[in-house]
Amino acid sequence: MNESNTHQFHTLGDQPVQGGYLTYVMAAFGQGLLLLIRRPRLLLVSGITLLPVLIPIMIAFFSRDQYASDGTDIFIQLATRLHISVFVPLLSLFFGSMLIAEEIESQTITYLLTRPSPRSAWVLGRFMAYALVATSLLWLSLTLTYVACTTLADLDFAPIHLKLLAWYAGIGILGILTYGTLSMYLGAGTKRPIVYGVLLFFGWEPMARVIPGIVDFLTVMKYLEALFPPAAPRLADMAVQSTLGEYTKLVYSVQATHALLVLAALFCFFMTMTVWVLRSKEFAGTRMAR
Amino acid sequence: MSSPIIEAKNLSKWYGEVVALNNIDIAIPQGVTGLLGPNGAGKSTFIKLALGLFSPSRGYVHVHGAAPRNNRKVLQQIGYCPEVDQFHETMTGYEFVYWLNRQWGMRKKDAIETAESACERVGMKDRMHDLITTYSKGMRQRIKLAQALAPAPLLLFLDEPMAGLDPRGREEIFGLIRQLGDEGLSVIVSSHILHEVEQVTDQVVLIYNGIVLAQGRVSEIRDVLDTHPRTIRIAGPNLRTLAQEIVGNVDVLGLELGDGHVDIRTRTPNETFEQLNQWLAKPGHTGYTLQCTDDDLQSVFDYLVRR
Repeated sequence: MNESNTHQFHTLGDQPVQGGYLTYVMAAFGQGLLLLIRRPRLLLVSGITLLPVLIPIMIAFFSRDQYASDGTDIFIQLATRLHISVFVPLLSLFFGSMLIAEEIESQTITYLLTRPSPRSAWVLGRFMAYALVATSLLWLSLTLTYVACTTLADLDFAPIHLKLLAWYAGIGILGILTYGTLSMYLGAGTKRPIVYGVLLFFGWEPMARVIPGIVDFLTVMKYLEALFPPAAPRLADMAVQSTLGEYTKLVYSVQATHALLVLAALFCFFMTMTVWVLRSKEFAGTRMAR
Repeated sequence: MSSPIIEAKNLSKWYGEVVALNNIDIAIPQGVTGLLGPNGAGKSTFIKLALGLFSPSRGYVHVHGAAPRNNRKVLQQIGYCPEVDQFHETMTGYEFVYWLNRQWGMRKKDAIETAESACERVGMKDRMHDLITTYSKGMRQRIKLAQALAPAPLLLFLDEPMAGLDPRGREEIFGLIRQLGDEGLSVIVSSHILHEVEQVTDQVVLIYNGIVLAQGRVSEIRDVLDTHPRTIRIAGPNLRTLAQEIVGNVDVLGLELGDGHVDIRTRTPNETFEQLNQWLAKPGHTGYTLQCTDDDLQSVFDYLVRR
């Protein structure tokens, strides 16, 4: 060990000054961001998220002039059925569920829990890092898809529909925030967040949309859908045909303001639950400890 | 006597039906203290309770007079070097310490300075900007130590800090712990290797199967064990003749002739030591050395767990 230090080492009773709440939030944000952008599978996820860009390019390449679709229509279909319905839950699950779960699995959480930082600041900072990365990827994919839809070949270019892009970008971030807190909570509170997340987001949510009754109110997508632009296809307007017969689900709509309130409430609820789990659960060492 | 820095009363911790700690009372004074016991004895559980990572199932543990769980004031005074060899592997050693400094609440400038000085202090200055994945086990251990030291804590928990270190590395860590103790820092060193703890302190807490067998100075603990015979070793020439003479003159329970030495077992070590000294001082009895062979921790521990 070095006896002679070039730097002044803090000695007993000479601890560095601690910053305020924001210092802790920014510390968790910075660390979280660094960890996220260095994740080995980030490139793969980015590639998957950008796949929709290829669809309008292929349509433009293969379609004949007389059958050319309207670029904006293609964009709306892609943004609704892929970006919002698939990639928002997918990105949330991939990044959000691992925000805390990875620290628990790797047992590095003990370093963090023995720091005198407010748990809420740590959760908030980490979540901000996730939201930044996930939103950036989603927005990049949305923007490139929009550009590809509206500028290639014979497809319609309508700059006025930039508003549409901003609309979906807004819904996208609301989805990232709501699904993200739910995923983060699953990561903190359960042993298999990915499994539960897949079951919830890609099992329960699509299923609830076709089950008769009002169980679709117990999905996040119901409230995101309420914010879709008027031209967007309705995800729940579907006729279900089975061997037993055929029925059309009666869909109760939600007002946009109510949807926003529910999304905000879900965000706050799962954020609070995550902080509560971190404060009350015993994580040290392994998940064996309760 | 000053109040203990860590105090546990009726402390129990169980996971389901597994009892990790069973109704223990511990009072750890300031200074360097060894937490000793075999693997699974309950050392790490005790440390995690003292760090507030676990809640007691029964009883309490106080650090600097306060319950540590979710207590930022207590955590501010604590440094922790965990047993597990886990890191944020995509970071460099410096980044790892820096970001944990930031989590401690340091502002950027302080976090940079303390990260650099902590890495330097544990001998990692030259490699601190390399990825942790490229480090040897010893280097990883040093980085763990650096992150614990960086915020200048008043109380440092080192859980098996010598694990994976080569002999030179161990010596350096021993030296550092002694130095920290000299600086006034309270250090709790957990180990299942008794020899390691002897290198840094004679203040120990012995834990076995979730209960505290003994706590205090090694010599004090040994003195309490009057019922156990102790061994005095005499080395020198003509041991067979010596042994015959001793049997009649000294209070011995047993005597064992070894290679170049004779071991005497007695229940009255002080008196026996005195008698032997007098006997060896007689003319013609030169070239002998006396040594109490079971004053060390291993012997104490062996006695206590009746192995």
